Amino acid sequence: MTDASLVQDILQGDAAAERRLYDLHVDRVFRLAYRMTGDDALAQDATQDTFIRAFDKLGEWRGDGPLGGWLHRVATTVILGHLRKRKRVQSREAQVEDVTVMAGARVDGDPLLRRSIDLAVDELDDNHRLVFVMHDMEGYTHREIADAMGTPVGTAKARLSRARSRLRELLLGTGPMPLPEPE
Amino acid sequence: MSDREFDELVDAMRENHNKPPQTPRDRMWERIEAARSERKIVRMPARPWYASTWVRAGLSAAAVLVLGIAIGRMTTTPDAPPMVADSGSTPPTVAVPTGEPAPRSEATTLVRHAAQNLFGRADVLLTDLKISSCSDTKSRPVPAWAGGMLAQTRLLLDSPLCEDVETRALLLDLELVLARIAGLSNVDCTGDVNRIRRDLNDNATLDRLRLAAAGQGMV
Repeated sequence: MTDASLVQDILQGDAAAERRLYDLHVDRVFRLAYRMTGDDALAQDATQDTFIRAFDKLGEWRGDGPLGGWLHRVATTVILGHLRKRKRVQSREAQVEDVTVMAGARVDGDPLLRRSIDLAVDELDDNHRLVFVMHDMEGYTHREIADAMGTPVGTAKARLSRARSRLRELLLGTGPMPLPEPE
Repeated sequence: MSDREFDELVDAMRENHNKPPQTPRDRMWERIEAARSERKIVRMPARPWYASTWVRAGLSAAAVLVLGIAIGRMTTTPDAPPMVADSGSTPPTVAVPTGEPAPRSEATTLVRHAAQNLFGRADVLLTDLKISSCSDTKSRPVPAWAGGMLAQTRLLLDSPLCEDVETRALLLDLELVLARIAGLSNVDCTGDVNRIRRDLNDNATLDRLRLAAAGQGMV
């Protein structure tokens, strides 16, 4: 079944088609939400909101790209929105200095090292972390990332490169260098 | 840190950083369905077109307008002194009578009130257009509203009010703008809206409307 016929069925009120769309994409959306939030309840909320919003706005999908890309654009908007909300009510748990990792250190079985890595990833700004998580942790292609973020592929690649550089700096403790604003 | 070391760290992150559990598919689906059906229940039933506040206000104004114009035509005397705009005055909105002000009949007053009402609503519509967004369904311009006002504008163009050249010019500008808004596409209207906004600025239409809505510059 093509994306277009699936969308058409849903717009005509076919509940089974809605569930088909959900089953096709829910794993990736939930995994991304969980990776970004690290919180089961928040990830579930973001996933639910993504599908609710997607079903509401499905008529706006123009069919000029894969439905999954469009759905992930909704998902990234929702996830980043949830993160912004959470940040407003939470203070930062750790400072940049806490994340430094010695070169050559082994991660296996070292809880402190794992914690440092977690903090380093969390230290990235949300847009760069999203690209890093999508590509390096969840295996999205550059094309998929570009579709999800509504940017050209080149921008997605550049953002990933900056995210990785920044992460490397944080892990080596070379000092905080602010990332440029996402274009 | 070498590339290999960094890649090892990334591999470790993949295994450890916020590793997602099994997707709770059914639980989330139940909540999605519940949230959507809850919204369907609380959603207000669709009102018939004539029950819309805008349509009702428009119909009332149109009725007043038609009545006023009809009475005005019946009562207009040919020897009433004409009102002309002072061509030397810079603000395009202010019309200055040449002689003694003509006694205003009730019909003219009625038309004037209808016109002020229209100008006030057009002001709201055009101000809204300035901040509307074609890509957002919630703030998209509503061509149907312009359609209702367009009919009233055309009625006013046929009224004694148009003996005043500035009022006539304002009504003609308004007619053009409303016709363009009424013809906006539901799919992609960004370019058209930008052009309308530019013309509104160029012609100072909103400023003139506001003056006219406040009763200034009208006979």
